[in-house]
Amino acid sequence: MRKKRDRLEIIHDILHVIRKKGSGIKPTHILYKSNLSHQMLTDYLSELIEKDFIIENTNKKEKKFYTLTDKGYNYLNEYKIIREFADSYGLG
Amino acid sequence: MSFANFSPEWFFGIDIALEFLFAIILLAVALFGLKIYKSTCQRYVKYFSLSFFLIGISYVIQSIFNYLMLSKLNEAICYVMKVQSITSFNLYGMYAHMLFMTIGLVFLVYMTFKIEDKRPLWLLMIISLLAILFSFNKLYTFYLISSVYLIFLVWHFLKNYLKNKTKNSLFIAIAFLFLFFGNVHFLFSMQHDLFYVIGHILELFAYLLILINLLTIKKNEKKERSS
Repeated sequence: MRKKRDRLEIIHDILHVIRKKGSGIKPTHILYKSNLSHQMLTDYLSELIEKDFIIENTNKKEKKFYTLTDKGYNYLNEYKIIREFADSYGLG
Repeated sequence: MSFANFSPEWFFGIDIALEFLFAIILLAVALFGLKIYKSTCQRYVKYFSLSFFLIGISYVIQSIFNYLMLSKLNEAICYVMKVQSITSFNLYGMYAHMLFMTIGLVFLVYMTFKIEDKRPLWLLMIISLLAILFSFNKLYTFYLISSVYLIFLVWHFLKNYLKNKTKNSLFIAIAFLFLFFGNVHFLFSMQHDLFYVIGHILELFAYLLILINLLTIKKNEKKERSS
C-alpha cells in the first residue's frame, strides 16, 4: 500500500502536473492526475495561488487554467532538498 | 547567581565556548530553515526556524553572561547600567536564557502538532512561563519543564524516524535524546557540578549530530545544483 502523502508531497505533485503540461492546465486534469478529492484540490489551489506558486488564468471560453510562477518552478527544483530537510525533522 | 556557579573551576571557559558553538549551530539550522520556508511557505517550517533561532539566542545569552561572570567587564557594565549588584545582573541573564529557551521549545513542540489553531501555542507558553516565574526554584522548574518538552520532542522525532527510516532522521532523534538526557543532568547540576559538565558533553554530541545533518543536506544541495 502506498504511504499517505504529506502536504509538501501533494503540493509537489500538483506543481509537477502543472509543469508537465507547460502551457496551462485545466483544474479537471489536475484533479485527475493529482489523485485528490475535489474539495482538497480546491483548497490546495487556493493556497498555491495565495502563496504565489501558480497563476489562475481564464481562456476565451471563460474556462480556468493554471500555470506555474517562478516560485512554483523554484519549489520543484528545490524539492529534493526540501524533502530531505523536512524528513529529518518531521516537517512534512 | 549564574550558570557559571554550577561549573567546576577547570570547566570555566570550556562551557562558554561550547554554548557559543551550540548557538552557531542552532542559528545556522534556523537560517537554512528560513530558506526552506521561503521556498515552501509552510507555517510549521516558519515555527521550526523561529524555535531554533530562539534557542540559539538563549545560548548566545548564556555564553555572554557566563563570560561576563568571569571577566571584569561585569563590574563595569553594572556600574554603567546602574544595576545594584553583579548577582542581580547575572540573574537577568539567567532569566533571559530561560525565557528564550522556553519560548523556543514551546514553538518546537507546537510545530509538531501541525494545527492551524494558535491557542495551544499561547496556552503552553503562558503556563510554562508562569510556572517558572512563580516557582520557588526557577532554574529547577525551568529544567523540569524543558525536560518534559524534550521528551515529547524525542517521541516526535523517533516516530518520524520510524516513518522515514533515513539516516538523517535517526541523527535528529538521537540528538534530541541526548538533549533530553543533557537537560536531566542540568536538573541535578545544583547538587553536584559534575552533572553540569556531563550535561554540556551530552549537548555537544546532540548539536554535533544536528550539525552533521545540516552539512549532509547542504552537501546534497550543492550536488543537486551542479548536476
